[in-house]
Amino acid sequence: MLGAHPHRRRTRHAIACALMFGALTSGCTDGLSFRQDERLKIVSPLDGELVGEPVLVEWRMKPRPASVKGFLVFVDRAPQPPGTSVEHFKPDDRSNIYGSSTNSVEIAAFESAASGPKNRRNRHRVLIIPLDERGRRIGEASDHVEIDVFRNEQ
Amino acid sequence: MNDSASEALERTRDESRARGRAALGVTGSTTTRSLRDVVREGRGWYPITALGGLTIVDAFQSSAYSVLGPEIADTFGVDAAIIAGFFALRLLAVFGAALPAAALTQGKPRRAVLSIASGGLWVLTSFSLGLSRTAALLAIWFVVGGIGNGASQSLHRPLVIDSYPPSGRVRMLALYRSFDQVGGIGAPLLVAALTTWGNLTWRGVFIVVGVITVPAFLYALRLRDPGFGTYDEATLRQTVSGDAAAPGALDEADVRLGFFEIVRRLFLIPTVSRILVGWAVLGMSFVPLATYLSFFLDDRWKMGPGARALFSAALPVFSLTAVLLSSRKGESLMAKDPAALLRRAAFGIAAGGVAISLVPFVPGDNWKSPWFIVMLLVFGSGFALQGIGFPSLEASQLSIIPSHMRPHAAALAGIFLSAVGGIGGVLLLGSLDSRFGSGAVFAPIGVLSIVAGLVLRSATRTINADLDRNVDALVETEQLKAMHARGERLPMLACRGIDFSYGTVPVLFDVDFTVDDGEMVALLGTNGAGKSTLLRVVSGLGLPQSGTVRFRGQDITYVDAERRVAMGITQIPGGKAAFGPLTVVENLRVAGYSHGRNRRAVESGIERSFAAFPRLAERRSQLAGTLSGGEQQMLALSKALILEPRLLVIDELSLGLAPIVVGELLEMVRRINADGTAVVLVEQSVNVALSLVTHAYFMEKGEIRFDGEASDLLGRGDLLRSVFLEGSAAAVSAATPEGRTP
Repeated sequence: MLGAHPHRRRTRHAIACALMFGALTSGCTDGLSFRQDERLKIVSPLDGELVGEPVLVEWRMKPRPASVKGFLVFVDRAPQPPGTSVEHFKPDDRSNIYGSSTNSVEIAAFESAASGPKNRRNRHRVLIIPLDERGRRIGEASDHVEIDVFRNEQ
Repeated sequence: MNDSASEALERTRDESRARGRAALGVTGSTTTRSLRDVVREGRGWYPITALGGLTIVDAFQSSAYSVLGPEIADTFGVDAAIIAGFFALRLLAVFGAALPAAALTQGKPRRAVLSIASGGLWVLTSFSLGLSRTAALLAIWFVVGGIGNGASQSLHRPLVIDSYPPSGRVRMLALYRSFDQVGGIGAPLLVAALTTWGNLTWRGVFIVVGVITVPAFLYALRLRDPGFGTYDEATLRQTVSGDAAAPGALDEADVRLGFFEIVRRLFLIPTVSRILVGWAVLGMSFVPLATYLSFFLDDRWKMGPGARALFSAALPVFSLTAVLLSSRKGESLMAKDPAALLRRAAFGIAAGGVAISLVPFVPGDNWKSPWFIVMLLVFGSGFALQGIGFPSLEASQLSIIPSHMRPHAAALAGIFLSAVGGIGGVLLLGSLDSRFGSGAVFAPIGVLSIVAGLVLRSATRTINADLDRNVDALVETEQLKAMHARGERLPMLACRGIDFSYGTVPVLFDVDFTVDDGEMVALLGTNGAGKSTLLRVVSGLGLPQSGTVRFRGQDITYVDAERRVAMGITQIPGGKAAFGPLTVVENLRVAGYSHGRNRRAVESGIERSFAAFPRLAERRSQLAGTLSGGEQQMLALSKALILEPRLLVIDELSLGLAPIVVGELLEMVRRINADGTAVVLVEQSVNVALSLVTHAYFMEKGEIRFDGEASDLLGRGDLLRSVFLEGSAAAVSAATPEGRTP
């Protein structure tokens, strides 16, 4: 018996594989963020802004879900993974993390980078994540800005 | 080989070489065919567009990786260094997969199916990355995507070359690169659009890239491998018209080079090795530039991410335009003289690098300044000039090597450009960036590009000779087949045009050496004449810079020594040919077992040896190091005989031995030859050698001075005097640079 044309057979195999992959991965998207969560937004300072110390970081979350009980602000470091609290970090590794239950936090001083080009040593990445009542990160939502900090001694 | 066959080979070599060059696309004329004709004669537009489509989606993936790293780190709560580590893993996978992918195509042309598989990997990778729940899974998919990328690096270009006639090679490679440039233009724009206007996270971007990859993958499913050298080597074979496999000849599969043999052979081709060095130097400037460009645009021109994406998309427009406009000229240069094409590539790469190095000197400090356009034009012209160089370089490199080695060469080019050069460049330019700022990294780019240009230019001196060597090897193979089809006898061993150097010291010069089936040949000459070196080339212990070694009709020039033993070539090296700390029996067993003989064959071989040399039987348990010189030579001869060679190569059998012992050994050699084994006897003792053979060669200072009847050599006092008066000859040799004849 003659089989299907090799081209068609390959196409069928490919489509079958794609369908199988789709079936296997369906339901795997729970909790994953494919679109940016625009509810959470740092409103001050603006991305790329030159600011002086101390820096007041402000954000908004509209609408604010009832599950969001607070926020953590991270300066020049990665946040904890989704579903974990600040306990994720060792006690002696919790510098440059600022918590707030309101919509702002004041950062008194930023540490300059010890190395790298001089004009980028005072560039800092400020990132914010929402927390639930147990202090765990909610989902994958975050927002960040990069700012240049004008230091008093400069 | 008989004289008529040799003359026929010589007579037709030049004519065949010209035909062969033409078959490989070097016609000597600047006339070029229309691209439409080339495509029509080839496999149509499908292969180039299918491979181009895969290249574009590959660019989308790579761009998404590099742009979205910080967002990925935020999602998983890992440091940027971890993501950088994933990138490094991916790069390792790219480089690690390129050569194995080439190796998978060695025995059978599987380039199309592997290219399709790599497209399938990209589909899988894109969706899986978007759905990864843990950083560990992400790392795995990074690596899987890298494997697909590495495979495409080694397979796509050879597939393009073999899908179209050589008269359109430069243009088709340029067209393939154009798809890459289109990907380079579209990828940053797509990622920027999806994140900025589409409000997608990195997961969303990877899902969209996956969706875009699916049609490219489905479109590529009809790709078929046209076979190695379909439009060049096959044409060449037809012009020589040899198709009959010679009875008694080795099968082509027996001498097919393995992976390491191919890689080693590629490095031995002067043009290829120079181009690889050129790629590495170029990579030092080109690869890190992509990283530091963003910092430069940000620091100096105050460009945000969106503006930087637009700038990154604009640069390939220049190179795309240049590639498309210049490819026809490149084609005519290739047809006229490949060296001219390489010269142009070298110039384009050097000049392009110099233009890019001038970028920091353009005044202005903001992208809204009018000087920004000037900076873009300077940068763009650099990209355009280098863009002209790349397809020319690829065409040059891949046209001078056998078609089945092109995937390996393409893989090596990628490794030298990105791994060797890229890592070196990051180390060099990274320290400059830290110390002096992003503008400082541009200065060495000019210097490195000039160095790369000079290295590549040096290859213009070797490219035509390398092309001819490739042509000659192909032509010779076909001619030998044709000769045999006409009933002419093939030699057992035929060395043609052998050049050999130890490092930079040349030792053999255009040596021709032939041994017929069952023949005993003497190779004579003074000390340092190159006799032992020629034997090393025959047995595979030394690889020549040029020339071919054929055994039983097949080219074994680059086949490993141990494989030659299995084919029937055995050498007894001069001096110590036995392992001193082992007993006589252990020496014989080692010889047998190390070459895969079974126990019964080894034991019967040992018994035969003891029958031939009773003195060895008496000393079977004695350490070889305690044997006399003559007994050690008997042992060496016995070790060789266990392997039942078809060609026995003996280096300095009689050196330092008493005449009675020499007589005993020679009698054994005579019997071995009488049993059908061909023998090459290297001797300093003319009397000893000529008493045994009818055919003799005489070597002096790396060249064959005599090839003929042994009795005729006895009448050549001019040659033999140098052997008898070796002391004074050595003095003369020492006074002559490199030992060559003045």
